[in-house]
Amino acid sequence: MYFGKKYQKRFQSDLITLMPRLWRFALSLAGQKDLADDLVQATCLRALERESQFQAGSNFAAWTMTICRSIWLNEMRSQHLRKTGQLDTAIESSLIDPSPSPETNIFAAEVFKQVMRLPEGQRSVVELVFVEQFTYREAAAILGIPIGTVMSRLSAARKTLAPLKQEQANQMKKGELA
Amino acid sequence: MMYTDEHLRSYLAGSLDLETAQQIEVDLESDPILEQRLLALEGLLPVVQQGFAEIPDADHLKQLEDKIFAQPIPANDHAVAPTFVRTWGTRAATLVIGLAIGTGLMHWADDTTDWRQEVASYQALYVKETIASLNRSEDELKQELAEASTAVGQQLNLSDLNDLEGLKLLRTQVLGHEGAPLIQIVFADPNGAPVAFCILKDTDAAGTIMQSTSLKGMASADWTGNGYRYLVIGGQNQSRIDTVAEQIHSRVL
Repeated sequence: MYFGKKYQKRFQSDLITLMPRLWRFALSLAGQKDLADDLVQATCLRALERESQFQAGSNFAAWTMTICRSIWLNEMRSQHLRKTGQLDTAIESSLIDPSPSPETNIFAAEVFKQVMRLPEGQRSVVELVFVEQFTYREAAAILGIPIGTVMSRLSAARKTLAPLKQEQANQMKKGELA
Repeated sequence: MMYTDEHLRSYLAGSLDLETAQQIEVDLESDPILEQRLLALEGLLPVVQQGFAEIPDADHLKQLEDKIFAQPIPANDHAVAPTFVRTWGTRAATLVIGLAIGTGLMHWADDTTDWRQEVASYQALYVKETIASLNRSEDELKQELAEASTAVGQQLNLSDLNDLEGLKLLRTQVLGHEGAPLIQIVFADPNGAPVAFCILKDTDAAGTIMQSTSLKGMASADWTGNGYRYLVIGGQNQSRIDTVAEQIHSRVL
């Protein structure tokens, strides 16, 4: 981190722009809203400290999320485990905004709930590939795992989530989803 | 190997024969086109995206953003209510936000105020949880201090940083200010709250005696001498910070 007039304001601006994606990823790792908040805060702090290590032109989102994953695995996850004895993946359907059409919202809430019920490893891969649209290889790099592991976790997640696809198709037929 | 869309759909459905499936995964490592073809066939992608379309809640995200990147700093730091602890991050502007005021509007009283305010804004980001996992060995602490000594040009010894009002040394970082090395030495107070001792090399700095100030709602003490600016900052216990600063002053300077 560098203080003073030479400080790159753009770096902070980039972090703020990234926050929705970063928060979703943090939630996929931590499984809880409060922990996700703490993880995002710690990640932003670490990213600011390591600004000089970021190579211009490389993938800022992937770089920041790698930091996020590292903090979760190396620091916060073990603390949380020590404190609670378990990783509680509480389902937070209240996070869904109850605005658009009720049917759409119910379905979105169900999808969110199902994804959050996945084991942590599958959940984070699903979030990175399906929600943030990273490629398999980018997801593997962010999570520090082989691409084969990404694919096997996705395969398991697909089986669990497959009924949602059918449900969406059924609702589309009935015209319940836009 | 060339794969048809049927191969890829079967792979995604988990119904492809094991040998071909394994070959796809091997090929994926070096074939970005194959990767894009597979991703295009991921039928669950739009479904899952729908589930996350409203996540996170915009208000919640704004609150978190404010907490991390904070609001403009009130003119009178001494007027801050003493009740915030976890909300350090909320009201304490991060270093960056100070700059968001705009370079042209940044008129600090002098250079000293400038660097202290910026370091204070940075320190305000630290909470108990931020430092809870810092667990350096003695060798690692010595190594970090050696690197910092080299960077700043002043010898920093582990023995000088022990027995400071119950503070526990956690980490030393080399940061920077206006192109000059800035050392941040992080401690935990007896309650686990963060305290920092910072050193900024400034060969033009005139020697000053120690003074106590509240910066961003935190107790601090600073002094200059021998071409360096020094700052001890953290928590609200001004008496402890003053004592720590005096002890460090007697050992380091």
